[in-house]
Order: sequence, then C-alpha cells, then structure tokens
Amino acid sequence: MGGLEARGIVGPFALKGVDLLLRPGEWLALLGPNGSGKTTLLRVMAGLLRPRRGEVLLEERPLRAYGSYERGRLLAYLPQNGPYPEGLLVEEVVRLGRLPHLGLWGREGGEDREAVDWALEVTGASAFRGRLLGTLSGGERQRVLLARALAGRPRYLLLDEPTTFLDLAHQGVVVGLLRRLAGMGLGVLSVLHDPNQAALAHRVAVLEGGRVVAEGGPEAVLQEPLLARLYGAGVRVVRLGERPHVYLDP
Amino acid sequence: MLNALGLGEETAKSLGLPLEALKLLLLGAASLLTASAVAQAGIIGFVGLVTPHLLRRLLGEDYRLLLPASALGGGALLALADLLARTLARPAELPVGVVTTLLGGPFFLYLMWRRRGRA
Repeated sequence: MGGLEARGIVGPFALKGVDLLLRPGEWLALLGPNGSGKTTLLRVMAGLLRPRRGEVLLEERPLRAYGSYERGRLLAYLPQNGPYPEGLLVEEVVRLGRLPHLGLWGREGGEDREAVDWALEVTGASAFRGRLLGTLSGGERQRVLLARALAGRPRYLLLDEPTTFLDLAHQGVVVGLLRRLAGMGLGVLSVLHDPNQAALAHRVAVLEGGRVVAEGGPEAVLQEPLLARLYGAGVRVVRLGERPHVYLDP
Repeated sequence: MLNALGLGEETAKSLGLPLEALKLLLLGAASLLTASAVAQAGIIGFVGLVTPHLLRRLLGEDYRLLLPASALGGGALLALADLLARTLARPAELPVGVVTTLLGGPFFLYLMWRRRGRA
C-alpha cells in the first residue's frame, strides 16, 4: 500500500511545491503558522481542491482517477468548524458517513449498521446516540462528527484542527483517539495549532510559506530554532522524557 | 442525501455526493413544483415560507420526514386559512392570501428576530 501522497503540489493559494506522504497506520501532524497553507494542503489531499500543478496519489493511483464515491470510501475529511445539522439525531448524523457505500439510492444493510455502531463505540459517542446534535457540548459534538467520518470505515482520515474550541480534557480525548485510530491501521493526517499535541503524533510536518520546511519524528522536528523562526523568539522547548514540550516565554 | 448537505458542502462533497448535479436537480424540482402550485391556486404568500420552518422546530431536521410533512402541513395550513377566510367576516369572504399573511407575517418577523439574536 502506497499511502496518500502529495507530489509537487503548487497552488491553489499559498502552496508552492509540497511533497508529503501519509502512510497507513501513522498519525502525521501538520504544523505551521497561519496562512502557511495547511488547510489548503489538507483540502487538496482530500480531493476537494484541484492543485495548479502536481498530483495527489492514493495508493499509487492518481486521486482524480477515482470516482467520487470510491474516493469517499477511502478518504474521510473533517473540516474545522463546519456547519452541522443541529436538529438531527446523533445516530442519523453518524449514518451519513455511510453515504459513499450506499450512493443516492442504496439501502442500508447489516454491515452499515455495524459500522455505525463501531464508529459510535470507538469515539465514545454511543451514550448520546439518541440525542439531537444541537443539544451536545462542543466536545461531545466533535466526537460525533469524528464518528461520522469513521462510519465509512475509511483508510485515511484527514482532519482540520480537530481540537480547536475544546477544553483540555476533550482535547486529550480527541488526541488519544487519533493515536488509537492510527494504531488500528488508519492513516491520520491532522492540521494542528498546538505543537504539544503534534508532539504526540508519530510524525510532524511543518509548513512555512507554502512549503514543507521540516518533516520527521516530533523530537527531531520540534526544535527551538525552527519554532522560534515560525512563531517568534519567545518560544522555548524543553524535554519531558523523550517528548519535546513547547511553551512561551515572552 | 439532503441531510448530508446539513454537514456543509465540503463534507457532502467528501462523502462523494455529486453536489453540482444535485443542486441543479433540487432547484429544478422546487421551481417546477412551485410553478405548478401557483398556476393552480394563484399567489398565496407565506405558506411555503412558514410551514417548513415551523415543522423543522417540531420534527427536527431529518428531511426524510420533513419533506413529506411540509407538503401535508402546507396543505393543512392552507385549508385552515381558507376556512378562516370564509368564516371570519361572514357573509363576506376575505382573500385567503390576507389570512396566510396575517398568520405568516408575524412568524416570519419572529424568525428574523431570532436569527438576529443568534448572530
């Protein structure tokens, strides 16, 4: 399996020649300052934006050669802060994740119901499956939206800032979940703002000015000179055991 | 599939929905249905505006339920408005559009006020 690979992506917007490979079974965190092209790259890799130059390959085949439902079965995308149907039941929201398998006229079968149960279970959202989405807290809602993304049983999961607006406890839940999902064999690519969350990923890629300027294990990438260049001179990095820990000392 | 649009166009597209074709189809179907209703009954305002909003508050956002319920609810609202139009100022008859406007106008203002409050 070749993974999900961006090759020489130029445009749209900020991207100026990006190569990036997401392998199955790994969590790759995408870091970078505002405007560096993180979200654009994620959308290009999800097949939602077409690059001006370069190509995205999904398991060694060009992404644009896939049919839309076929692509939807392999890749799940969770936007940051997208709209959500407040008046739908949690279970109904999660079932929408089965659309790539059902198409417009397909009928739901046992496999679909199993996948929905699994997605609710793995995200810890089973307890509120009968509630309306609009009645949940931000953290609960994010877990449901993640369950929706997982219900299609994708091989790759692309998430745009999945921990934004969540309190520390819920950030921990989501981050722990991403690690577990990668452990189950999914390729997980997440745009993150917090370098300390990125430190928990298997690999980190840093975007600056539309290019990948660093890529590798968190301990190799999250170094003070690079982070100070990206975020300002007040950034400090200490080691907590093996793991880098980033804080601000303005 | 209409429910999937509630997750936003990007997510709907990532789920594989042929978004542009779907939007064209829905717009075309809505236009034709509206045109045939107006051709039959004339211009009666606020029925199509009030009924789906009212029912969404009562039934939630599942379009599999909301669409048929809106069709039935619209018919029921119009029948009620017609009854009122024939009986309120007996022996004279009010135009049914006046009654639907009297019912729908305040509700529409309420919706606008709520939306502004939320923004």
